[in-house]
Amino acid sequence: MTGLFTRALKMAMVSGWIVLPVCLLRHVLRRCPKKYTVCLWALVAVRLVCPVTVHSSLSLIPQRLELAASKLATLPLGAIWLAGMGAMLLLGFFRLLRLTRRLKEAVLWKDNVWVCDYLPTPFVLGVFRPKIYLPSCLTPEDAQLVLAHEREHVRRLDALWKILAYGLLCVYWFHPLLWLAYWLFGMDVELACDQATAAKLSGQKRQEYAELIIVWAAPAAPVPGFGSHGLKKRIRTVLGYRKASRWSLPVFLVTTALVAACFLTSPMSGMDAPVQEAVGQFFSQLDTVAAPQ
Amino acid sequence: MNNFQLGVIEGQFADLVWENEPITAAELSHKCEEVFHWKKTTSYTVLKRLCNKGLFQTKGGVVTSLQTRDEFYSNQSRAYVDAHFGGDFPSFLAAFTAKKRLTADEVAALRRIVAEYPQETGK
Repeated sequence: MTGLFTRALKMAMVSGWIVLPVCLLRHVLRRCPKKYTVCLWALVAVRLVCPVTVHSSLSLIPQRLELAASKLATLPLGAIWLAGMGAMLLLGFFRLLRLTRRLKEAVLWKDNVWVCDYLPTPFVLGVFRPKIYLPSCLTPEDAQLVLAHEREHVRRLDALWKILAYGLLCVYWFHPLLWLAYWLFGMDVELACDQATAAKLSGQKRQEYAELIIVWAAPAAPVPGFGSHGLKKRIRTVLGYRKASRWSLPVFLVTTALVAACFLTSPMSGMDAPVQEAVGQFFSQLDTVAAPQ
Repeated sequence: MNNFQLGVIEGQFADLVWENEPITAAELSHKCEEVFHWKKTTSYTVLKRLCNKGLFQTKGGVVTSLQTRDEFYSNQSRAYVDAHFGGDFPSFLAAFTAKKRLTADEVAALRRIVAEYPQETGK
């Protein structure tokens, strides 16, 4: 168990590092379509899930960080880690249980859309057979706009991504940077969804849609919904919608690849010694060759 | 005075009771199964909630209402005027008619209500 913990803590300390460059990149690429920038979080996820890293001379992960991590991980903290993980899972489970108890009173409206009293916000539940739940107090016109947003969530499989993100957060609950990452990821999911929805709306409808975001802003939840985070940013995204330039994709790909090369890799450990040896040998041979006869 | 509001679906459930009372709880849950596709236990949960709020009662498995539909909604409108207009009906009416003018029929109906209103104290 402690072995596993050692590995997780080491991975978390080294991997947590990548949240910072991703945040930076997210800021630099803020004019890119949000459907691209939300993918940046995949870098964090890959780094967290994948225990084996490619060694590369491009790596910018400080070696000292890895050393510090191994030292810290020798402390017997396995029980605390497990307890935290259990608490996170239980919390998620109870929130879901409370929600489903309320949803027993939901009534089917059409297709996979359900209406239910006393819902704090509209949302999508389920990955394989997603159901959309709307609060019963929505007016029919508002419901159409909200539905467009929720259908976009379904199309983009956001329920799946959010569950995965919450799962990773449960495992790495002790890392503050990953809480930041989880929060920002939730915001980016909504932004990407808003942008996709706004792209299909006329200017007038976009205004109404922005107003709905204000009305239905809700606290962050582990299911993709309608409210959640970054109200101001979401309004700006919807009202300031512009067609993306054709340069956005290549720029996004190149910068992301660069960051991946620098932060998805580990530094070339122990590279220095053999290189110095080889260089030294080369020079001594050169000496013998060039030695005066 | 009851100060609670019904959700849209709760309201439809309450309508089922008002239209069919007296009705046995079993029959009611059967109706809910047809109309809302609810599980049996769900209709009992909702019924219990509305009973606790003092809207309905069950005696010997038979559901009856403690307030009629009209009573309930007139209480609702009074509570609304109290909450948002300090109980001042004229200012509620002013706000209500500010955006959209009343039709002639509506004005006539209002006149009739006022004319037929029993004067409590002759001044």
